[in-house]
Amino acid sequence: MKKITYVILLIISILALSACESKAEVYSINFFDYMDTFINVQIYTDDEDLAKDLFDDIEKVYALYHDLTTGYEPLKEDSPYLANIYSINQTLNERIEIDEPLYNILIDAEEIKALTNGYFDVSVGKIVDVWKNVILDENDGFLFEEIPQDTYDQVILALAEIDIVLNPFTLENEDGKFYITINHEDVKIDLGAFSKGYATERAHEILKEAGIRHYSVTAGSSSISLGENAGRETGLYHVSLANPVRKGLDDRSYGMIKVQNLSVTTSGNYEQYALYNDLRYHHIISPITKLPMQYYHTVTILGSDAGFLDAVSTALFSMEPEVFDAWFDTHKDAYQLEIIRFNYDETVSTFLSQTIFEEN
Amino acid sequence: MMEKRSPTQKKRDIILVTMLFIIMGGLFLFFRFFAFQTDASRAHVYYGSSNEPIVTIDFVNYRVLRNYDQGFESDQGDPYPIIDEVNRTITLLGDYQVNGVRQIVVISYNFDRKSVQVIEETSPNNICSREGESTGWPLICLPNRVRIEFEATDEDFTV
Repeated sequence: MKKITYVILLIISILALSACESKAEVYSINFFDYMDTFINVQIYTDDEDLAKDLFDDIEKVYALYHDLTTGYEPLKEDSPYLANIYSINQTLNERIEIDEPLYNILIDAEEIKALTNGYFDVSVGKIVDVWKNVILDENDGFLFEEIPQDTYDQVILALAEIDIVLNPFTLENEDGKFYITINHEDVKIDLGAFSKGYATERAHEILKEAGIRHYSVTAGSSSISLGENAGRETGLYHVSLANPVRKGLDDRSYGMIKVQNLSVTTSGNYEQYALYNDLRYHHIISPITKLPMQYYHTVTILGSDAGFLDAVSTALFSMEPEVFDAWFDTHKDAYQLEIIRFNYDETVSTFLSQTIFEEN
Repeated sequence: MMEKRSPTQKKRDIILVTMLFIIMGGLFLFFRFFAFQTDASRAHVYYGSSNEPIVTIDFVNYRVLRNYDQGFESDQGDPYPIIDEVNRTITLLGDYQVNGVRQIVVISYNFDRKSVQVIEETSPNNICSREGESTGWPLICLPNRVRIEFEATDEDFTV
């Protein structure tokens, strides 16, 4: 009788243990063709077909926003879309019909412009271009080098010629059709600081709607959207924060946060900049001063919506500390925001409510 | 005159030797398959006796960094090491020579699997290319004097 009991117990134990074994696997896909960035999506599921379908849907999202928001090339002749940012920027005082996704992203951009008191402004592309040419131009740029005085003087003169327009473009929705009109010759729409995060948020929504718990979506080195981490019992992802003033191989990061079910975005001055009077002149241009500001090296912002974070981190980067702190105090609860700031003097300021930051 | 061992002693010897085999085998398998299973965040490729990696494969940020050149050019005029981002390979010059010509070592890398493999090298025994794909086990190519070491950190992403 004892032997029979032992055998039964053994069989039950084996069955119980085998039931514990999950068949779920990590599926991963990379995209290199959209928004000039490397995009990686990882999901953890036991349904391979679902993973493939989700990857297809996510690629369509990135392709859609790449085509509609690029300022570098027109739509292809066989494109199903009406117009993109490149073609819109070629027009003035002309009412152009656009697709609903482009209308929606522009509406959101204008709302964030109002929310940030004009510190986020997608209409200042001409000013951004002046600085990008000085920093990044293959022949005449000064990437990581000192900008000569005469070049700097020419830049300031060129900027003085460009107006920041109060009402740069008009968006209209009539009978289910969507329109945009550029209202001033100095307006050039640049969605570079918004479209990547916006598309990442749409990808995030696809995964959430499919009921995926364990996932990560990373777009370049600045924007990530995270679910739970299947690789750790805690479910947490460990996100290190890039050191913007690194000097060697051992100081790549200045700290780490451990997070799940949120998005993290960093705006920083360390990947593309030139020097003038020993200050970094980078690609994040203040729509208030027309200049790259030197208050911070990086602003890392945590919240729920990767698109919103992308835009807000850009806006905060140009705010002086008093304005920054006041804006954060006003909006942190409504948008459940947390921030880690690497200041220009190389101190770190944290504005955290739940997330633990471990400084190196 | 040698003392004859009893059947009990022989049995004990067999048990002892068997246990030693099991312990040693277990230790080998542990180190081979488990001790280096932590996901690597970077792999560093070293040449010669330098302690500075010539190339760093950053699995966290999906990029490959060339830290310095070897001072020689390929037939196509590209300086070694050559980083091919399309085929995900790194080619550098080893120290092993055939008819006075230094031979190349070709390393492939995979960001998703966080792995590295020596796919082409010329050497007497081809030990490092026969190691296969590694996710943490160091790969050492001799006499080419190329080695690949992994760095495991706690991070999943960098922003």
